[in-house]
Amino acid sequence: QRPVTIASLLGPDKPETLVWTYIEERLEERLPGAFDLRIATDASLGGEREVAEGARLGSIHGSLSTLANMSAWVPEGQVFDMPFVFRDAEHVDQVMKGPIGDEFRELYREQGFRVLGYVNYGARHLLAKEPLDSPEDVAGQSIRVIQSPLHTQLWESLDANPTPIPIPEVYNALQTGVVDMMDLTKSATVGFRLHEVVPYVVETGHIWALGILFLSEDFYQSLTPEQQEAFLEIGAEAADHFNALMAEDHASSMALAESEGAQVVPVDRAAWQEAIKPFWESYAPEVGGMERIKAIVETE
Amino acid sequence: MTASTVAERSAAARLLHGLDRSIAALATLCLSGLILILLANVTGRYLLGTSLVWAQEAAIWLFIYIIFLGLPLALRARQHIALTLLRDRLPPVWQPALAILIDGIVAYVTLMLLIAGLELMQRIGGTSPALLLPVWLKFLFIPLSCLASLLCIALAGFERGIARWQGPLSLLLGALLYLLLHHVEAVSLPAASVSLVMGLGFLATLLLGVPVAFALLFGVFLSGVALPLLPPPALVQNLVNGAGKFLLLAVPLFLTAGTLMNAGGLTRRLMDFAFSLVGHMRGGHGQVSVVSSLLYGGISGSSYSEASLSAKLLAPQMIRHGYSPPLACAITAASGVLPNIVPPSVALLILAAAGNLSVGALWLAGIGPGLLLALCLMLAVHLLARRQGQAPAGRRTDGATRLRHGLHAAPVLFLAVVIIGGIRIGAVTPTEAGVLAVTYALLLGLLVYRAYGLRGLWESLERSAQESALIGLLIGAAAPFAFILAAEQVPQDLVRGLTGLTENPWLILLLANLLLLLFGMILDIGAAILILAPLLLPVVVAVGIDPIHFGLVIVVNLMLGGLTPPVGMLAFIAATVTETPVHKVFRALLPLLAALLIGLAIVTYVPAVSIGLLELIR
Ligand code: NA
Ligand code: NA
Repeated sequence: QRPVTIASLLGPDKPETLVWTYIEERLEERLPGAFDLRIATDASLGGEREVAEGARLGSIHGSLSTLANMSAWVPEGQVFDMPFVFRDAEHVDQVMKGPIGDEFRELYREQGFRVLGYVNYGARHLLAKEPLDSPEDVAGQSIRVIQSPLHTQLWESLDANPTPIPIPEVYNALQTGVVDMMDLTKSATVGFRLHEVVPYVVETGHIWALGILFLSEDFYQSLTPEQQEAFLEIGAEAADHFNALMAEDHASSMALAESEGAQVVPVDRAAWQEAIKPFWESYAPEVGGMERIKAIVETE
Repeated sequence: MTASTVAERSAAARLLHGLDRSIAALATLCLSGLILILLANVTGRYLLGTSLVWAQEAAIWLFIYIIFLGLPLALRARQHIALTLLRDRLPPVWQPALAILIDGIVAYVTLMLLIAGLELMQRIGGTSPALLLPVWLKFLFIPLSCLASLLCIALAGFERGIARWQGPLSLLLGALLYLLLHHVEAVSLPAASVSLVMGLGFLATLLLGVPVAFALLFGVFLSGVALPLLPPPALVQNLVNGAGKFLLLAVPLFLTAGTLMNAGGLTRRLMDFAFSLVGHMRGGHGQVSVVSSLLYGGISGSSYSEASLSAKLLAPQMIRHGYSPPLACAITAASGVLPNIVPPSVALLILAAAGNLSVGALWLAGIGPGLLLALCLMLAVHLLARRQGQAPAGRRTDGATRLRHGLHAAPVLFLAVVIIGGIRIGAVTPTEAGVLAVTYALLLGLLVYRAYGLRGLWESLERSAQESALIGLLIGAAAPFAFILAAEQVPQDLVRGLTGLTENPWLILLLANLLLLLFGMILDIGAAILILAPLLLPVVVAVGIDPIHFGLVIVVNLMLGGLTPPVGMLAFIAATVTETPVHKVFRALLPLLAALLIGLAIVTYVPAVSIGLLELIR
């Protein structure tokens, strides 16, 4: 039995881990006794960046990574993090399973990551203490951001004050007013119980958090053709399985949050799209130009 | 000795000295840069409402630089923390052989770090999104520092009182080990138990007297011979990432603040104040040691710097007033537990980083247990003093004197209020609190009390850089160790084992405590937290125990390990500073340990002691 080191950032009952237990079971059916998948949960093998680095260095054989994290090696991938390029989850699926997705698979492979499938962590929504809905409402507010030039400049373009704060400190920072708002996916919001301090979930869905389910390319190349095929096929199914699990997770998380007093605030998407136009213009050169953005937006 | 060997000796010594000075200067510059960048970031956030996107990442890179620059400095100064059990018992004839063996293992680990570091720089690829610099630059000083370290090992005989051939021989041994383990096909270890190979490799070298950080790394490199779960470049990457966490930036900051406080005579004021408060009690000087550790703990997060300080200043006083030297050492060592429990605490910071917990919450939860343990220690000192028939130390001071000493210490104590208050109201993050503490200590020492000039400031920064490097290396070295355990699924086995035994939270707490005590005895606290917290937190959370409460149990428990053989850092430090045999200190520590164990039991089974204050505020 060949030991395979798999890193998951979250707990055993989360989609991030379940996607690998799914792969484990299916592999066992198809190639009994060939692999011993050791799925280390709760980021015990390191954070997202460390895990991806480990895949290049031979200590990690497989994991998930957001495309934002991958942009250290494939900066072109930042284009997927541009606000309002995707309409909905179906649009995301169309783009990533189409020619654009294939083109990026190749870019990731060149950097040592064999993509088994693209995954969708869900849309980031704005979390606020007040039921704001228009882009003008964020002006002058301080917002927690991840440490990324794209996110920082996005909120600066809307005249908000972006402040990077590590996630374990976020609850306290929001509660005590170090920052007024932040953005996150629904299931993560409820996972960190942030709806207790920022009860308004403003449904901007401005950025879709996308990722790859990957094997280390070196590990992939060490497999027999039969094993490679098994990983590719099962991996593709597993990515879809992940997306389904994630969608369920968002729905059940929101139901729980609403029962505890959270409120969903719908927004006028067109107004937001209009407001971030200047940011699109200014940031387009960083992500490969306006053409790339358009190619995604215009995918049917 | 001929004239030519004298000249030769001085040339080699001069080379080492020059190398040492330049590396120390570089490390000091890195620390200054780290402080300035974070200061600029805090100022910008408050005055201009914007943060520098690159500040965190830049500060982390500088911390990594400091850690590796500290490697040759600590090797030359013999500062790396090690166990001297064997060395102390070996007859003189055998000493050179042991020294060569130890240095040879250190040389092997250094050589591996050098080779792996170069490969890592080549293979890591990518660009830091925040700094817009290629990521390999983060590892820039690894090969350079490792080369300098190897030079230090090779030339050690020109400086220390050992034969000159010892250095080159150690280097040769290191190279042989490297060839044997990594280039001789026939050498193989059973792959079935990688963690076991690693653990045995660690323990064996540790008992030999190899410094803890090197013993940890040796264990991991050795396990790679059984099964390369962590190829050498990945090991170095793991080490760097283990130490290079944003939260851990508060470590060099609070260490610097502590050094500046000491240099500025600020800690002296705390001791005087403590004396005016409890000096008249039975066992007075022992009580002073406990109370001043508590006060000092309010501004410093490092138990090690506290233990060495009070061993230097208070232990001699205790001995003069009738305490036996081992007991005086034992009391200062035991009091050294407090600064890592009372906020700000470096141990709780490391725990927050390892367990994804809020530093603010952990620090607030540390207040109660800190006070409780201080009380336990004071009671123990009282009983010990009564048994030894010790007279009270001094006259009871009058209210006016207390007030005077209190006012004298007030500027220092004010910092404690600022740190805790600032974090509580959420005005500052822990790292920012560290920046605040450094700035405040600097202003007091440099401008208000004029205790030192720029030269003194530079020297303090240099010392802080070295101390940060030592702790940083220990934290980093524990990360690959923890990686192997996680990759081998030891946590899962442990969870299954523990929860299979019982689901009763009280019993789980008891079992967890026993496990912590066991590991705490052999591991340094930083390493122990990084290895054990991710293992144990899921188990206790599963049975409904508050993670912050359990966090305090972890740290209090592991701090007690600093007072026990074989690796008892606090006891080592106190024994080294006062030149007392460490095994006598360990014996004198027994009654104090018993008192602290009672405190631990209360912290474990009365959650209100730790999280009560937190819930009150919420
Ligand atoms: Na402290
Ligand atoms: Na110990």
